[in-house]
Amino acid sequence: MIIPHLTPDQVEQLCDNELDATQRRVIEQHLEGCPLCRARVVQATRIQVALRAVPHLPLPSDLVNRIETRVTLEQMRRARLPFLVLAMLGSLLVAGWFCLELALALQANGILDFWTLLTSYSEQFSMELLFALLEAVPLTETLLTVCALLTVGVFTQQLVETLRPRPIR
Amino acid sequence: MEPSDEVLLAQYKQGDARAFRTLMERYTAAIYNLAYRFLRDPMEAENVTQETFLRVVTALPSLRLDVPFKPYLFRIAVNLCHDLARKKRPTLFSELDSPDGHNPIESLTDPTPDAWERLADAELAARVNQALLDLPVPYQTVLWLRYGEDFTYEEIAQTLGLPLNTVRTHLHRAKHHLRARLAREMTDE
Repeated sequence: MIIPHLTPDQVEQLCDNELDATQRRVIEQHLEGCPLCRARVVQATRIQVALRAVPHLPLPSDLVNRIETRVTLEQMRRARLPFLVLAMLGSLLVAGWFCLELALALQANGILDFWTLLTSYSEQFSMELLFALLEAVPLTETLLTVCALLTVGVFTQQLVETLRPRPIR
Repeated sequence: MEPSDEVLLAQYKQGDARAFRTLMERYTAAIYNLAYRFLRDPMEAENVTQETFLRVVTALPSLRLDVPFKPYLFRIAVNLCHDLARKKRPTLFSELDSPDGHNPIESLTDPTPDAWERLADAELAARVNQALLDLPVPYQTVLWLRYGEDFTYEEIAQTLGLPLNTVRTHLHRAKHHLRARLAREMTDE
């Protein structure tokens, strides 16, 4: 089989060993009688050899170790995820319970009724009445509710941080 | 005989951290070099390298072991490079000029040798190294994957998300640009 001059693709594929045995045989037969194509193959081969000789850039020192450390930290961070979810849900339940307890306590010692009266007759409002209202607030239930809500906030913030995709810096 | 990438991944999935260390040692240099040639910034190349392996770890539960790992890994790196380089508006393959005045038919019969053909191998290698850095990033990427990292055409196609014939075309054009740049340098001297 006689083929015309090699196409640029054929020259590249020959140099890259991307031809099957049949194609290679045909092309090599052509090369035996075509100095022009032989010269082009030599040219392409020299370029390839030069490309393969391009040196790799040196790695920054300790890059593999630093990546490994970061991967380990990321795995630890993700391993905390189920516990964070459980902790957040648990603290949410506890906070809800304390809120209910606080509401019941406020109802039991009449603060809610007192507040309703105060706002209905705002002309009767005075600082003495306000202090009396504050003195009647159930301190323990209030503090526990505030702490529980803060705990929910902390766990929610940590959960959001864990789930948030980190941009490449 | 070294275990294959897929074997190492399977071991890592079962909790063997050393298997992932082996994978990192195998590919960190290649990923870093690719990222550096893409972004031309050592810090960003380092960040891309780190983020590439982090993405693998994140995707580990759903990672398929029947798909070649190497193109998948480099695909992540290339996509990360694209995301970062988008700020600098990288040259896309579709925007690359066709070689000015390049007529494939003429080049078949033009017997005039280029000046760089008279260079010794060592000097040619040095000039090719410099010319490679000056090429548009897409051309540099395909050339580096093929000749710097010994990717097959199929692996390049999978990594860059291009058809096989397109990869061949890009390689051919990239080398044409490289030769043209070498010839220009020799002419200017």
